[in-house]
Amino acid sequence: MASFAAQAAAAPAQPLVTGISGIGEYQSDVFGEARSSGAKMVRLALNWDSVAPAQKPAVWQPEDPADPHYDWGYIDKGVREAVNAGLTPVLVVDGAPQWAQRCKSPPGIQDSNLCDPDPAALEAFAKAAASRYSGHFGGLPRVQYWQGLNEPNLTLFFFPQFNTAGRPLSPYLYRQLINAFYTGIKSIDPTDLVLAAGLGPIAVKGWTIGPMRFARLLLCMKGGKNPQPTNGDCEGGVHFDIFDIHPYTTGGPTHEGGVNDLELGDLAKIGTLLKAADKAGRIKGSGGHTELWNTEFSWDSNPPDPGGLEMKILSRWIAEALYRSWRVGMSHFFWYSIRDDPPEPNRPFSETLQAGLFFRGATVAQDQPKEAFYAFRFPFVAYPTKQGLSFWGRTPSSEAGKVSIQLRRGGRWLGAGSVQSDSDGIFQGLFERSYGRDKRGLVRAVFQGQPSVPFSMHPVADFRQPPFG
Amino acid sequence: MQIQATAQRTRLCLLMAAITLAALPASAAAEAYVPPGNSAATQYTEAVPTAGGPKATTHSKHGQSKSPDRVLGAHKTAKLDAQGPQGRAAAEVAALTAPSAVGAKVEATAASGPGTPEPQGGQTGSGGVQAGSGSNAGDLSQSGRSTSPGHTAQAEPGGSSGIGEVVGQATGSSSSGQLGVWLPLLIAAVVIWSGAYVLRRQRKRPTG
Repeated sequence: MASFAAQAAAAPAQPLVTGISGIGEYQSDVFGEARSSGAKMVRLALNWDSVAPAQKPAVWQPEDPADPHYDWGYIDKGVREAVNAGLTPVLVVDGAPQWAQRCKSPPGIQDSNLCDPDPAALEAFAKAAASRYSGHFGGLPRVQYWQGLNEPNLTLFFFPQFNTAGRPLSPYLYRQLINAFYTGIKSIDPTDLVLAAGLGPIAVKGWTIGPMRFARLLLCMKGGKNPQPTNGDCEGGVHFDIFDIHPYTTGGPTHEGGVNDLELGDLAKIGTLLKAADKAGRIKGSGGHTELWNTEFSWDSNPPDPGGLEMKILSRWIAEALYRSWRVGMSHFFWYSIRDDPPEPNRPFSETLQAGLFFRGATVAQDQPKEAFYAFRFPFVAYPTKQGLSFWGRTPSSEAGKVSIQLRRGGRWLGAGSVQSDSDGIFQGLFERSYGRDKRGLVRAVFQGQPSVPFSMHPVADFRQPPFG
Repeated sequence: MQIQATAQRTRLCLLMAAITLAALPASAAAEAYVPPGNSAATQYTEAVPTAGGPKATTHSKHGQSKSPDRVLGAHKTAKLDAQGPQGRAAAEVAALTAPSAVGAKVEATAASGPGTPEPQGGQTGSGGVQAGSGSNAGDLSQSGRSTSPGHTAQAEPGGSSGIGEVVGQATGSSSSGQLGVWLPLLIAAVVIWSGAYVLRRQRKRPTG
């Protein structure tokens, strides 16, 4: 008889809700693929400069979603498709019409020019958007989650980053913007929730501000291990409900970046900072306990990207990334993207994004799920320790229920025991046995007849792996 | 003949000054900020560590630069690499005048050493792995290093926008000691010297 001691999480723990960013085409079958991955949410870009007029009208009502100068067509479709597929949309308001920007970005350095947007104009647009997707406008679904801009610590998405003395400038500009955005959203529905930042992962000299540095400056905090508020009241505080990061990692799930970076191995740093900022009253959100989300993360896969991560390792690292993110208190984890980018005749795979959970077929119906898809849908990890074999997982679609744990022996899967998940599908436990200590073997979880991707007892050391191959 | 030679030298000096001025991009303030070799991927990927210091990642393992589509949603697909030859040429020229130190220090690191991806935190004797929470998972914050935040007063944009800061950033005028605004002054000095040289030579030549 196997000695087995397993239990659901002993203390209340946050769920691990998964989502998809980079949905690509707004087609029902693509949203269906996202839902089939176990994701409950989908992040869509609400491009302000696409919806608002290119020229500022002499007479118009920017806070009115029905103003004829607005064109919401494409995002209406996205929101409808998402909701129809059973996904909760998160709208990230990004970009700005040139008339709403207070400077002009140098050419060729940005994906979509965004230079010091006007907070008042952003607030007005936020009101219009929140009104349109309040659930009470034109039969459109409600959107409850709103992100104010994207990766404002990257020159790629926000300019300027530095002032004339070479000191960070964007955190202060962004504070004004997120506060205005929050005011606009909450003025329509106070129960809507605002995500801040979506910070890129690393400091790059002259191009990005490291996310930890950006966050400290944004929140008027200082210090590393024991963050403390700086002097002053931080302009009355920073208004948002959820803090969002994009910890793209140049390595594996334990990889740490520099002191101001936020890669997978650095996640505890931001958790510590947010707790301290909450305690200092810097974050004027609706909860008093600021949630931490990750709304963009991925590694390219090989195949099809020769520079991407080999599929077996990718599957392992996805499960580990989810586990480690959950363990530091992250409640939401979005994968970028659902389908590989289409191959381009004049460009090698190394220049396109091949991080989809599906291999791209000629049509969506011909898409094929990667092994990574199953790892994302049913994450499971198991580690041999001195006390025994510890394991953690989350059921597909976060359903509650009984989970069987199986060990590979003699070419067969043998049941080792079962555990009950919590209401969010999280399960964990410890086998009091030595399986895997010789770095051999496989362990998997089975839920309602569905097996997880087997987790190897042979560890994989961290190595350099650019996230985009 | 001497007058023709003087005229030729005058034209040569003016031509040299004109070429120097023409080498500047039409909008130096806007383009001087752009360093060469950047692609979108380098703002997400650690630099490659080398013996001579970190090197920005401009190529993948297979020799091609990576410029993924970072635009969210289906509506836009713009890519930096689509700048084409003009964009590349502008960057080359700008590289000659761009300031090199305008902000955050390089945070590039080598890949960390091998490590078994074991769960951290204590494990209870009764058999359960401790539930993951921020406090139980172990604080991986760096030891002994803190970052001083910029002074709010200094960094706040003046007036209604940060346009002054934008121009300053674009021209690289900073305390970092880079060429920045000195370059236009230097060019002006060359032009003035060239003209003064010509005039002096003309005065020294005997007339008639």
